[in-house]
Parts: sequence; structure tokens; C-alpha cells
Amino acid sequence: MKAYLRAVLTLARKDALLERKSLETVTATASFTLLVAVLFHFAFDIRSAEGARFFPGALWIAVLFAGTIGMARSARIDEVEGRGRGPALAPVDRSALFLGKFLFHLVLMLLVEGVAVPVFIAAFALRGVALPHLFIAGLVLGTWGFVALGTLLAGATSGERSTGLLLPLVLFPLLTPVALGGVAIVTAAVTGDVTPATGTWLRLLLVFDVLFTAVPALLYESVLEV
Amino acid sequence: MSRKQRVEPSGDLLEVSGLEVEAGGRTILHPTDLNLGAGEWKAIVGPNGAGKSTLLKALATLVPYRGSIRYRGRPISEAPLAYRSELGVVLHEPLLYRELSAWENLLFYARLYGVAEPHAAAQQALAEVGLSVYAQEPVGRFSRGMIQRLALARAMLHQPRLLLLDEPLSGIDARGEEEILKLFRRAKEAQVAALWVTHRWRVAWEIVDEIVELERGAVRRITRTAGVDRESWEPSYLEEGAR
Amino acid sequence: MIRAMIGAQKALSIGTVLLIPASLYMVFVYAPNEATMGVVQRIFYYHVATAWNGYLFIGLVALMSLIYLIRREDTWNRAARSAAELGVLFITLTLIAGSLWARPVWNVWWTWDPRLVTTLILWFFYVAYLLIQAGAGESQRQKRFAAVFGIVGVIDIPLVHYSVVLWRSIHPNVVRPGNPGMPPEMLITMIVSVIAFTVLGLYLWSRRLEVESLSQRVEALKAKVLPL
Repeated sequence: MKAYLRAVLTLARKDALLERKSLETVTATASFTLLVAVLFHFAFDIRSAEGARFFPGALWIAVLFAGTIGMARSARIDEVEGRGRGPALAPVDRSALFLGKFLFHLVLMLLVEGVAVPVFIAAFALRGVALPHLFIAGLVLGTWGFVALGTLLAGATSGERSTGLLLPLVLFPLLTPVALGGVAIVTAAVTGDVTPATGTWLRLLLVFDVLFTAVPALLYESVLEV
Repeated sequence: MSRKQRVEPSGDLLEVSGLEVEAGGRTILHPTDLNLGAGEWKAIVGPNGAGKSTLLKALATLVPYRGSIRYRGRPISEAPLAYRSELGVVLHEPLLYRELSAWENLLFYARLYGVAEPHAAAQQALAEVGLSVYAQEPVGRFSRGMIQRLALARAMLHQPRLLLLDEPLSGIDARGEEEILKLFRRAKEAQVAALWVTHRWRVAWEIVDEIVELERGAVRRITRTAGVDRESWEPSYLEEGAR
Repeated sequence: MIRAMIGAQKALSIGTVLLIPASLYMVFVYAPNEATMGVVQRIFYYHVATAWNGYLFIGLVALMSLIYLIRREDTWNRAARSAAELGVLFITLTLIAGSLWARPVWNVWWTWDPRLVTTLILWFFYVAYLLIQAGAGESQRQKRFAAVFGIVGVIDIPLVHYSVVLWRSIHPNVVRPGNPGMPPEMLITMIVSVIAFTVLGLYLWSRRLEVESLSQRVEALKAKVLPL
């Protein structure tokens, strides 16, 4: 068990090291999120009174699109010269390869959100978030499920010439619960208007997260082999 | 976890029987039998598309296969991790990260393999292939031959007992080749076994015990090198071409 | 199992020939006119039948995919792909029939009701699955990816549905446990339609499987004549 966890961390650290050398993925992902904030403003000409209404959806759209681009790129890095096969030769269960990648993507996305959220709050003229804990819980739970499924599907589509096109097409339909739940929870957190449904959303996201971390870990090996 | 005590069983280290690989409805490798004892080296020779690399990839558990592969008497599907911890693989692709330095690459793999002292192991592996001076250089700046050497260092980092080598000498210059061959001889003396896919059987001749010829995904002929004159021997696919 | 499906073709074809006209008769003659919706309500019988088939075939996609991942034999991949083709057909019909019904009854072509949304997401899922398969060609890895996607999809659909229900709901819940909510003639007509369409769906699938099995034999022969 200890050896397994060490392998997961080693794999995630390797990806972080690769990322630190170029900072390409994190820069592209973060600036994409910020661009969405600006585009939303252009598209809907948001005044301060409507800010709270558009904020949750805009934030999630930015996160989902930027994250998809980031994960597609990160998966392609492993595809260069078939080097993703190197770790597959190591004496660790191949589910560790999935969890390592997942962990790296999760940390990356949370960092990007750390930058994006203050900017979105400013851009949508929010006076702050009524329930910060709920806000963070919703963001983390939603990102977790998104990144877990995204890591599986990005890894599986990375061999394709049309990765960039295929990934959102296969990923977004499956993310319906994350999109709906994420928006509902963030809305409740921003307005402070918590209903019994908010709790149900949190539980639903948790179920989604656990399910789609466990199932891909089991299935990852079959999309790895050549 | 990789430094467990090693019980030497009476039988062969690796026993392969009826190994078959299919891809896209075509059989790439027909049912093949192959045995390898501890410290035994076999060269695999054959024309392009004979299934040599596929055989190695199947043995490295990288492609789906049918048939049985037993390591130390146990089917590898029963204990894949124990098998992979004693396996060192050099594929056609170097399996290295170009953006990272040689040192960072080896340290990553040493940790992933659970080597007890990753720093020491990485240092030793670099020294063995003569790359210590270039430890901090990014692999992207390496020449083909240096990359190949580093790939070998990566494969032998965890002191494997069985090597699967796909053209390990390609791109390496004459002096480097001498060093690598020395490394191979030392490994063989230490009872490490190997399957060595190569087009240069004359170079391999001095080290290997047997030459296995593959053609169209099947074993064509097996030659024991002991007692056979290297200069008079030719692969059968070349003999046919000459006729 | 696949051979059994192909073997059952004759029985399925006879069943289809008998059941489809029977269901047509029941839908248009036997079943009474619904009081408020009128004739339009008769779309409902085929709407339910195609929807049920859409869900049946996603189950088959997942089952065939799972067997493919375990056995790694192309036959199962082909079976999963054929099931997905039929799934997309039935879901498309469901969406069209539902839309035709919704226009006079709800006064809109489309509304964001949970069942509609789930069905639409299911349609997206099937299209994505077929896109993966279309790009697969000879690539074993892409085929396995399609299988993984098929399995993940079937696990996801209940969560999608639950989340959309939580989001909002106005769909008429016609079939509720313990309370059919409609006269027996209508209920029987619906059941017959569902059975008729299921038999039709399975018949089409068995024809598809037969074609796949023939094309596999052709490829095997080609490989024998032209070994690489």
C-alpha cells in the first residue's frame, strides 16, 4: 500500500516537474479562463445587479473548457515517442498511472481556479461570497469529478489525431451532473440561499466523484496498451 | 520491494509456450515457444516485420497476447508486479522525457521502481553507460547514441534479472559499443538473462548462447553459437535471397 | 451468445411480421381516443416503445463492451458497435416523436424537462460513441477506448437522470408503480407496442450481427491469401 502511494506521488511529481520546466499548460489554462470572463462580459454586457446570476455558470464554463484543453495537452505529452509506456513497465499496478495523472490534473486545476475565482468575482462585480466554505466545497467536488473523467478520456483519446475535437464531445455529455451540481452549489454559496437541494447536490457530486475515480482506475490499463 | 531474496528454482527462468499475438484480425506472432535459463542470452534475428519487437512487447506485458508466459515457474498474470520488478526493457522508443535532464529521468524511474536508494542507483547507472558528465543536461540535447545509452541505464537501474533488448546498440558509436558490450558481459556473468533483438548478429555472437531466427511471426531456425563458425553462418532469410 | 442471436433471426422475423401489424391495429383502431389530447396521444405508444429500445441498446452496448474488454475478441466489439447504431436510431426516433407530440400538447417543440434532457444526453453519448468507433479503424486501443466509454456511459446515465430531475421536472409521469393512470385498453396497446418494437430491434440487431460475422470471415480469408 505504501509502495503504491509512493508510486502515485512519484508519477504526479514527474508531471509537475515537466510542467514546471515550461509552465505551458498552466499558463494556457489560466489565461483561457480569464478570456472567458472577458468574453462573457462582451456577450452579455453584465451590470452589477445581474453579476450574481451569471457568475456561477460563467465560472463553470470557463473551468470545464479550459480544463479540457489543459488535460488534452497534458495527455499528449505522454504520447510523444510512446513514453507513456515507460511507467507502464514499472512494478506498480497500472491504476497508479491513472491516479498519478489524476492527482496532477486536480492540483493544476485547483491552482488555475485559485487565480480565476478572484478575477471572476471582480469581473462580475460580486460583493463577495456569502458562504465561502460551501463555495470551496462545491468547486473542489465538481473539479474532482471533472478531472477524474477527463483524465481517463484524455488519456484514451491522446492517440487520436483529432484529440482536441473528440475529447469535449465524449467528455461533456458525461459531465451533466457536474455542470448542474456545480452551478447549483456555487449559486447557493454566492447568494447564501441554501435549500435542502444543496445538500443533495453535494452528496450527488460526492457519489459521482468516488464512482468515477474508482471505475477509471480499474479501466485505465485497457486504454494504455498499444 | 525489489530487493527480495531470490530463490532460484530448478527450471528455466522464463518459459514461454504458445505465445500468440493478434492485431486487427491479423496474426503478428504465431504460437511460439521459448525458454530462457538464468544467465542465458539469446539473440533474435529476422527480417523486418518478422514479429521480433512484438514478441518483446508481449513479454513486457505491453500488448495483449494469448498463450502462457511463466517466470520462475509462475504464470506472470498471477504476479505481474513481481515479474515486472525483475524485468528491464529497452524498446525502440527510448521511454525518456526530453524536457528533463538525464539525472531527473533516472531518479524518476528509480523512485517508480521502488529502488531502495534512488540517488545512488541513478548515479551508478549513469556511470555504467558513461554519461555521468552529462547528468544535468536535458535529454532533448542528447545525440541518438547518448539517448540509447540512457535508455539502457534506465532499463538496468533496478538491477533486473531478465533483459528484453530491442536493438540496444542502434546509433551508438564504436567506442560506446565496446563499453555497452562490456556491460552486457558483466550482466551475463551476474546471471542476468536476456533476449536481444538485433540485425547485427556478428556483434551479438560473442555474448549470446543461441540465435533464434524469426520469420513471418514464427521461429524459423535455432542455432547454438558454441562450436559454430561465426564467419560462415548466415541468417536463413539472407541465404534465400542469395539463391 | 452472438451466434444464438443470429440463430434466432427467423423467429424474430416472424415475430416482427406478426407483432408490428398487430400493434398498428391496436394503436390506431383498438385504443380509445384520449379525452384531452385527442388523436395526437397515439404517438405515445411508439414514443415509449422507441425510448425503451434506446435504453435497452445502451445496456447491450455496455454488456458487449465489458465482454470485449475481458475476452479481447473483435466479435464483441462489433456487437457493441452494432448495438450503438440501433441505439442512436431509436433515440433519434424517440426525440422526433416526442417533439411532434409536444408541439400540440405542451405548445412547444422542445422543453428542458428531465426525461427529455436525459434522452438528449443519451443521444449525445451514442453519437460520441459512434465517433470513437468511426475513428478506430484497425486500432485495438481505440476499440478498447470505445468499450471503456460504453461502460462509463451506462454507469453515468442514472446519475445524469437523477441530476436533471433534481434540476427540474414537468414531464407527465404516465407510468407509476401501482397506478397505471390510463384505461386498460391503452395499457395493453402500450405493452404490445413495446414488445413489438423490442422484437423488431432485436431482429435488426441480429441482421447487423450476421453482416458483421460475414465481414469478419471475409477479412480472415483475405488475411490468409495476403499474409503480411
